[in-house]
Amino acid sequence: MVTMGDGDYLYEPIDDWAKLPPGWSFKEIGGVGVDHKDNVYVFNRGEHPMMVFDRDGNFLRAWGEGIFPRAHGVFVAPDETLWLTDDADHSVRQCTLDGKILLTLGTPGKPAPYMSGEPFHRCTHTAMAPNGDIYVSDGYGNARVHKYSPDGRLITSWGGSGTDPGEFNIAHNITCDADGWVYVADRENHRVQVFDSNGRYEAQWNNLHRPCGIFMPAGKCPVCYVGELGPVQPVNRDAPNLGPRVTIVDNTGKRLARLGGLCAGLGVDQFLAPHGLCVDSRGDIYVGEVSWTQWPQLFPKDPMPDNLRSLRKFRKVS
Amino acid sequence: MVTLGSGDYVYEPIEDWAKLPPGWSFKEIGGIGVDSKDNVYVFNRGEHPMMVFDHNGNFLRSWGEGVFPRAHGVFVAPDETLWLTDDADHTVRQCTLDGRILLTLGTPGEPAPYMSGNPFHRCTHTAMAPNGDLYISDGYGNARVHKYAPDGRLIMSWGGPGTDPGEFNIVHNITCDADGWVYVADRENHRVQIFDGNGRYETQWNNLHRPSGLFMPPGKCPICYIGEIGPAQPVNRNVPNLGPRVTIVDHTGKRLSRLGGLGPGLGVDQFLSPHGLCVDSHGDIYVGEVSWTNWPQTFPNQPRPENLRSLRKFRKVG
Repeated sequence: MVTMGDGDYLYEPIDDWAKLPPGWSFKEIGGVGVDHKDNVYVFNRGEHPMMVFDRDGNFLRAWGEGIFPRAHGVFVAPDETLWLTDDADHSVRQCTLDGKILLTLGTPGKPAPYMSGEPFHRCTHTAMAPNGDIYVSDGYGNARVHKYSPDGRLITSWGGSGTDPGEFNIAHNITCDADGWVYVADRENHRVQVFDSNGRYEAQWNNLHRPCGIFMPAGKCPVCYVGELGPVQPVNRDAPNLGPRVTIVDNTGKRLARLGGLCAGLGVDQFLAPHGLCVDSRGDIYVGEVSWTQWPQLFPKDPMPDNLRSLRKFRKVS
Repeated sequence: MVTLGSGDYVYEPIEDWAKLPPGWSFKEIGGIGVDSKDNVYVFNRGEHPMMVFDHNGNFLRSWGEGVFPRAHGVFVAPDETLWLTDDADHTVRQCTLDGRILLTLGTPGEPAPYMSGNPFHRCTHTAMAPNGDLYISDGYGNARVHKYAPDGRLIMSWGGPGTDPGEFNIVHNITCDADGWVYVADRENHRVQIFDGNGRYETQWNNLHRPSGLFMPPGKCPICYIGEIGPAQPVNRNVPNLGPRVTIVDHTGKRLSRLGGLGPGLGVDQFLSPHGLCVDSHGDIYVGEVSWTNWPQTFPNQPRPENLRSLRKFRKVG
């Protein structure tokens, strides 16, 4: 059995876990989430933007067709509603588990002016404070975090483009812990920034490479699962040990385990572009990859394989 | 008068300072140095790899034709010899001020195997310890620092590819202070790492963007001038406030002043790609830019202007 990880975080990769209906494809996957039954919500860029599976990979249902032009982020709230971020639609939608839209933030299809700081320009992800407030990372065309009340009223926003503490260079993902600290994947600054609930800068985690997806389980002082993109610049895309990979850190950012990372590839212990991830009640990790976008950047001379994989499951074995 | 910078570090840009012989061009500039007379050594990628100017920009001499295929780094040692690093030649050459080669490290034109850790694969720069030992950053095809005795004997090497402390993601420049601390521009990790003279990791400076060139004047606890290149990825090359720029930090990495940086361009207060830099006895800054390489990455839809500038001088006024 191939295992990945270290210490208390050892995993067995499960190949071909999802049993898709014949002829269906995720293409690539923006985000994944699990509900309290360990059903898995795969927010993807195929023809069926949301596909739902049970823990064993059996297909349950699909929804979202015609609504989501470019799936980006999934956050499953404690009340078992889904907060779905679509960066091409410039919107965040709160949905029931079977796809009924409860709330829409942003104007579908209409971006705010580039770097205006106004919501949204290619927003990326959402997180929820212990009191139910919603944080939205925004994103590719802004460098901002917005805080909303549960009823969708904008409370505050913070951040601007740059490299100083409190500035962002692609605010790509966001999560929140039980004490209310807000963690932002500041992707192209190669760090995770930590803020209090009003946007006051607290700390940063360095020694990462393009942190892209972050997930924290519920509870006090949770660990954090970090999906890191690998190098794609001609100057360093062949350099080893920069990812793509999944890194597990403790609540202070100290590394506990790492999956993959020596280089990109199709091996069971390799990633292409771990973009969004989540962990179920057993500790199993699901990773959605933006493989189709990444392939030509990683392997510019190789044609993209048919049905390039974009969903990974890693069963916790220790 | 346009000025750049802030506090005690305010500068007036001096345009067209270098009086080149008619028809000559630097093309772009890898590195730059000054001697004790404030003569300026412009190590460039034109037909005359080393051009020397006096403090007023009068042309003095050129040399190095046929020897240096791709100028990368200049270090002027206290004994007024030049240590020149050529990343296409995979060599470091110690030269007199008029171009006589005293010592060659590495095998001209022959790289060590990619990421082998052996010297050199596209080495980038040199620095000197207080006792005369030489450090070489290496570079694009290794992730290593090599330490040599003054007579050219390899003493030790450290580092490997990655993002942890002591690992490098394009080790692009190196400098050393009077106490023997070694500062490495770990370019694509967006940081400067600091080591003792035996390669023991001490600390890192973050909140930088692609630090590319480093310069420290002599003396105890010197400040550090950092050339930062800007974003060149399609996803963020239009994002403001990421450079290209020159940042001046104190001995602990705290920012004292910044020149440029809102975005790339041809304005007097803008940079394209500040790759190597040095400071003369007046405190004036000289910046060599790899403008020709950078232009299509920064402005992919615009043809490169003729005679694109690559040498900048900033006169200290405050």
